Amino acid sequence: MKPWIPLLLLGAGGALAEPFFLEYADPLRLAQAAELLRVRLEVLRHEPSAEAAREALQTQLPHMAGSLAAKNPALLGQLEQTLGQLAKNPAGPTLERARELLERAQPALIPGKLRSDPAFQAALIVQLLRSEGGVSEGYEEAAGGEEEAYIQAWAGFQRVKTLWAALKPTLQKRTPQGIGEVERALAVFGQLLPTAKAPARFRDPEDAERAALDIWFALEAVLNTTLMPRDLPTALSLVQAQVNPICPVYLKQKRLALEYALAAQTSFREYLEGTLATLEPALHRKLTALLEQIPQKIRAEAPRAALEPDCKALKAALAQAGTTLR
Amino acid sequence: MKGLKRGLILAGAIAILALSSVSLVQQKSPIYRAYVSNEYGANITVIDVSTEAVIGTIPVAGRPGEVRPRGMAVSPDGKTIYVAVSDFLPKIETPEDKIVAIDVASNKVIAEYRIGSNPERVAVSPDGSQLWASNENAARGTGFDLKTKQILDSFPTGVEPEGVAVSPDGRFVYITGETSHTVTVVDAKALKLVKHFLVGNRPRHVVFAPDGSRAYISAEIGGTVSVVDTAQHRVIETIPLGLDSRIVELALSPDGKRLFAAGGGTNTIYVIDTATNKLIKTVKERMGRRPWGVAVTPDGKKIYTADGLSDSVSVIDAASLSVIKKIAAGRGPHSVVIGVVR
Repeated sequence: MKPWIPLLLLGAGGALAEPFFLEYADPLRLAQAAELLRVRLEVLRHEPSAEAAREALQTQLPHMAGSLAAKNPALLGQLEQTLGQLAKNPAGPTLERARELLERAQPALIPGKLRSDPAFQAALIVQLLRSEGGVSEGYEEAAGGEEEAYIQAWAGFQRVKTLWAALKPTLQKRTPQGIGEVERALAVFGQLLPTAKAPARFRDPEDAERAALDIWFALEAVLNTTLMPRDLPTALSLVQAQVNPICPVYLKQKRLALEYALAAQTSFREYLEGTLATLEPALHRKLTALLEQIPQKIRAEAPRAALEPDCKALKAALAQAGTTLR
Repeated sequence: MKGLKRGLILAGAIAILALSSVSLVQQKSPIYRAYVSNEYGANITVIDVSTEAVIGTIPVAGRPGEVRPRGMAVSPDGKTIYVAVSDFLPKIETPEDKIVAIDVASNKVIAEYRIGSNPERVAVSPDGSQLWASNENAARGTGFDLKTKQILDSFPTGVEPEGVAVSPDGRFVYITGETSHTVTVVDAKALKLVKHFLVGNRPRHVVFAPDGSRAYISAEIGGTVSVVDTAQHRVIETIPLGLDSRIVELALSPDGKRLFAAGGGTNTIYVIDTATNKLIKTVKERMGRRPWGVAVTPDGKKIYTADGLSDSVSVIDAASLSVIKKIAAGRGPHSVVIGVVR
């Protein structure tokens, strides 16, 4: 049975033993990776840049390339080629082609039934708002002086609005109060990110953080499920689940191994880094180094024997972190 | 005639006695004022606690929306309010990052102190000699000597420090780290970092019990209150209030028997019995929207909340635990404290 079938049978995952984001960690991260690539393409449409196109190819696509290679290698090849062309000529017609290919990649990565599940859609919205590279963080960076982050936040918000428009009719049947909360918070984002062009003066970035939290909490309350980690042991479980397959899949599916390594790195930064840096600085340094080193070795196609000790060390360090994060 | 004269003298004497006793009562009964920091309005609303009337608005910054008053503290005698004011520009210390001191009797700003960048909240030591600020974006906690007007020292904290409190004996300062989910302990006498320890997810505020044996820490994402044994600086119990509670500020009754937690997510004040660490009541009816700040009057009779989304203050009767009044405040109430005129 596919892992997401029980969810579909139960509806919105309310009765599941594991938190939703943990149960569906893989499809969720793939959906997020595809959405973030889509956001980058939208940014390119407004601000053509060879460097940004290269970055989309080199840093964003690897977050989903291994899974797409397993499902539809031809499609991945086309997408890579198109993104490569875009890096040479970012203002050309290839942008639309890249968007079309990405559109086709999403159903290949995530089954339609799961994509239409309200909890899945809600989790994706929350991730796009709150995660690394998301709308809230982008606005904060822009307000802090990195103005180029603004358009990425704006494009992410446009995508959130589209996803919300698809989700809202389903939720409307459940609770109008929750809908009101989400819409009020989205209105705050609308004021912070009114146009693709950055405003002359930014507002308090904490408004973005609060609005993202409001949406997260409102959606969880409406759907009665956990959409993002609420405690450190669960967040650690997520990172461990992403680390465990790295070495086992490395021999046959290098790109999939890279995908897991990047996912683990991102989750670690998002949920555990601050705590471990405060409580266990030496362990934090060790974990950070391993989580940087492993993707580098995978990209360099190091022999498995060279990767294996790092995988073991990473698992041991995460287990050690577990005693601190209890 | 003589009788009438005697009668008038007696009546006069009684009147004088009555007046002086009224005056004595007036002198004895304290006068409280509630101070509400309005984050978006960049000002402080002042409320007379006896009449529940707004009696003043004190501007603390000239750039509303960009410079924000947030956390506040009261001097031990209740006569001075300290307000943490900060520019939202995260990486630069600006002249508007400061602690503003307000005289409760006159409602005038009487001093401004520079205590590091981006102070989010402030605490006063029990002897009134030190201020401690949580410097949000610098990830530090900074002590300030109010006599010498000099910074005592600055210490690394967890990520995004926010809640700050000094223990009743003046020995320890606790500073919460919002995104590291930690509390940093500083020895305020020796000026040394003692340790960091883990609490609930996204800790926002900390208060000490009057006897100093316990500290209580709110966790906004965790939806919990961590109960800390202050002798060991260790969490000994976690009180769950619900994942959607989104609790921020905490306040204890003067006797320490009841803990009030402001639940912004549910427009609720959670009332906890500190003897059992159990939730005994939720105050929800007629509450303003998104209460973040909460304070108890020094006589323990009323609880005030700063309701961020309804631009209001809710007044709760401590005996019946019901909302008895809603008062319009400024834009975006963040915190509330109670000052004592006399």
